Amino acid sequence: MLRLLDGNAAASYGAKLARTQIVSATPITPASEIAEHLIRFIEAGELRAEFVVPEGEHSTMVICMGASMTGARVFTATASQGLAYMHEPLHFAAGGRLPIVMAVPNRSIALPWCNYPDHQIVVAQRDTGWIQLHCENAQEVLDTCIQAFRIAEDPRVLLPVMVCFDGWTVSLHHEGVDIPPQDEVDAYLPAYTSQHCVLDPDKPKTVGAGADALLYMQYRRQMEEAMDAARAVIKTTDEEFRVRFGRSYGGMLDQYRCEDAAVVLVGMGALAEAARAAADELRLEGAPVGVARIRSYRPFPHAELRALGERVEAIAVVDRSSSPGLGGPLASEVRAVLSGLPRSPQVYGFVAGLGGHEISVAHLRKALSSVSIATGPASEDQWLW
Amino acid sequence: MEVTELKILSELPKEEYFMCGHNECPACGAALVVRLALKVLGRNTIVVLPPNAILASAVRLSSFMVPTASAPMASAAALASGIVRGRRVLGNDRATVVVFGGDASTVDMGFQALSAAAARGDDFLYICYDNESNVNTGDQASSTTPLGAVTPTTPHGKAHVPKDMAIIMAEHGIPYVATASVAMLGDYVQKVQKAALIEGPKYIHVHTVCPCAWKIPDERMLEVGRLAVETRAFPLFEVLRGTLRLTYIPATCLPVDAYLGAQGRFKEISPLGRAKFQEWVNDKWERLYRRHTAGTTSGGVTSE
Ligand code: SF4
Repeated sequence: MLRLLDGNAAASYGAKLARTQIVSATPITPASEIAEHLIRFIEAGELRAEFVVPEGEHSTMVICMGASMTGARVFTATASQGLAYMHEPLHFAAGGRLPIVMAVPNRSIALPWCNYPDHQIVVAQRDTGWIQLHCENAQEVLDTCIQAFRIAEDPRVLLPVMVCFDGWTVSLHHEGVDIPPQDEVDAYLPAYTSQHCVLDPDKPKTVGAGADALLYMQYRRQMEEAMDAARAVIKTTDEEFRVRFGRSYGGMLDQYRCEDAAVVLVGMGALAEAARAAADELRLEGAPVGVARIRSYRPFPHAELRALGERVEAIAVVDRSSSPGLGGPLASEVRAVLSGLPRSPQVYGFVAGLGGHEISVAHLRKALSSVSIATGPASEDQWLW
Repeated sequence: MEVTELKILSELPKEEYFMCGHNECPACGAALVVRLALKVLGRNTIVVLPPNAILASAVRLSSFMVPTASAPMASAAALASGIVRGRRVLGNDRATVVVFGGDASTVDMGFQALSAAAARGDDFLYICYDNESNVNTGDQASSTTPLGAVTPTTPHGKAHVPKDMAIIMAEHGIPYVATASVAMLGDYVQKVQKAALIEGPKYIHVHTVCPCAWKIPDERMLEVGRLAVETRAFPLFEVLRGTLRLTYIPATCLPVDAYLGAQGRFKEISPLGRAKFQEWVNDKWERLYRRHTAGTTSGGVTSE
């Protein structure tokens, strides 16, 4: 069924089709509507779930953890300041291996106050142990919310998943979105039965006891292994989604005209659309360029980027965040995974679109063209205004 | 009173849900608070623990025979809410979800989450064992550290009166709030029994002696706890659906000096400080007594 939905509504349809059982979220721009839609579904009897009203994002995540520890399927949403406030329990939820799914419409972080999209604060959650999938439009948001539960609940993974998409540009922008039938989603995503962490008086367990150094390191190692397993799970989940619903998103790394490209633009989120338009224009002018959108930021698409790096001359990485004192975090990570290749391409970093600053086709053409003619190593990241 | 107290305790089930082998000090009031509450609540209970002495000591081990989950310091009550609501949506039978929080994770960092969980009306029991300092990290002051007490962060003695957490919780309009003392376990046990039967948020604030932080010998743990009650420095009351009742009225009112003098943490307190302490105790007692007499028609309580 095709409906006109914005990204926030798409996320709530995804959570509804996934038969989420507990929803809790603190209002924050531009994520507030996600919970409001879900409450409407609950009130209308279309979703058998409870909404728990929290007072802040720290508690929100902890409420989600508690519910997940009973074996319920749990969904939440937050953004920006809320995500920053939630930072401590994000670690708890991942360390507790609780398969919570959270929609995150990306928004900049204060100070100065700014309501508009960038990846600053979401990238800052990269070390929490959450899987981060970045979507570029409302359809992908809906589909990825459903995929996210399958990934999170896979016994090889058991990690929470953030479904990230740019605030406003995607979260409040209406598009035609196909809502898949419930029975097809049920067949794709079976009910969740927690095997590893249930607080049940009939089978008493202590969740989160103290660890000595060795045990702690073993647990952290298991999280790394789970992230590694998630790489394959993300790919097959997306592929099986294609088989059933006719849509897929490139698994870990969504590549466009990269097969014969000499120069590739790497980025995350909604900028990919403008980047593809820039690539098309340049292709018409004879430049062999392509676009690789990082869909899975955690786990990072090592293998896909290395395979790409072996073929191309140069890579332009466009970051929608900056790590003051380093530069674009995405650029530095791309450089890191490409280092040590027998023939690594030059990686040029660009910082753009902070606080919702426009990223136009012209901006991205500029990035791709400057990389094509650049000779020698990139000294430092450039800012695209 | 003493005879009744013993009778109540001797009638408790033999089953233990907080087992020996924990790493608490031999005279730890907190361990007693947890153990007795779990005897009352029984096996159909889920425990939530913010970081505290009970949890910190449990490396690779757990003394709990009921399911137990650890929470971040700031939001133990939120974890309880999530557990209660998750079980409800899954159609599980009612289990008692109980939080054991120290004062720092209840009256300070965890206050916001607790206040919100109470305002939400979720069905949980919160037991705060108040040892009047951040014992786990080295006895630093908390919002319930008493006036004049020397701690590493109040080297000249705490300058302000403690936060009146039980009254603050009662003002949330929740069905049951009580104070209790580790030195009057019969009274405490009865309050836990009462709370367990009530649906909705319940809060019990237990004055819990920590011999280490309070600088007293282990063997005086119960005695010092009792002195707090007898000097009215820690009054015992309950607020059932808005009606306050003092559950113990000391026969003679001992001056607070008896309580302060017994503890090393008040060694530095000046005569003026003692007078201020006494004044705070008198004021508080008067306020409670007024509510008590307004709320109980028959007097209800007798002293020993
Ligand atoms: S230091 Fe105090 S609170 Fe901690 S275990 Fe010992 S007596 Fe109990």
